[in-house]
Amino acid sequence: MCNEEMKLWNELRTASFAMVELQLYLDTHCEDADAMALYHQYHAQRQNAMEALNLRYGPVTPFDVTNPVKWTWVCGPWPWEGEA
Amino acid sequence: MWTYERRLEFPVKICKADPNAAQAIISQLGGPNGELGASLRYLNQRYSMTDRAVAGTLTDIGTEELAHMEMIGAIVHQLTRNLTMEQIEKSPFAAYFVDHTAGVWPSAASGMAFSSATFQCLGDPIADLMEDMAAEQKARVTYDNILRLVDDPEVREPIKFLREREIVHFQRFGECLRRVTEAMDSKNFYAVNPSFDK
Repeated sequence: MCNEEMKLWNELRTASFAMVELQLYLDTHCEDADAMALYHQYHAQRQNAMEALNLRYGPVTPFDVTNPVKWTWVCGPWPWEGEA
Repeated sequence: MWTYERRLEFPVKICKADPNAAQAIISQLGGPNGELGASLRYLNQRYSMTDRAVAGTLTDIGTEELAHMEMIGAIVHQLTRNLTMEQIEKSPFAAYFVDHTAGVWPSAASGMAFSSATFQCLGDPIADLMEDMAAEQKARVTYDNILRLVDDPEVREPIKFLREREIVHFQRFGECLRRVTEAMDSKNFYAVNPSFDK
């Protein structure tokens, strides 16, 4: 995995974890404006990382394959292989 | 990593409460051929699956089984949420009611608690894929047995959908098994465990 791809996966991981943490808080604090602003900030970061990964390196989920002719979902190492 | 979508894979909308149907269908949540065991079997077998395409299939089917677990939960919930005490008293569901009221708890129709002893991860691709194919057939037969017991079309339709998925999964696992064996020594497929013997 090249540095650029690793950087994008790290961005996806950190933005997604921040969103998970905010989701749990927001589930019981639906009208906290500060938390909502943070949620939207991380949402944008997550979207950017997702789109770049899907387009340049392969799909993040099996709903995200962008290659028009080849099923790229099963190409490359799985996360549990410890290669990333 | 997983995320949740706010939808069922196939819609479940059941108007009529039926404790006998619930008692039978709960088995596909926590019984020996149920969806929870199916999901855990496939997702845990992935680590020792040598072929990446087959590991991907295990991920995708194991994930779909989680959605099936949710469908079974929705069916049992809708079959039991409006039960009267009179309906419960006359049904074998009364024994479940004592321990769980109308909560959804993974057990077999016979009352046996969910157990990972109902499935295997042997860490050998051929043995595990053979088990997966058998598991899909066992789940298909269980759905056939449920369909023998249930008349309400609102219950039968999602059960028929789940039964069809067992057949599709069986087909896909058959292809996985062929993929794995084709990568092995055709004179003796069982000479090595490609997951363990390097």
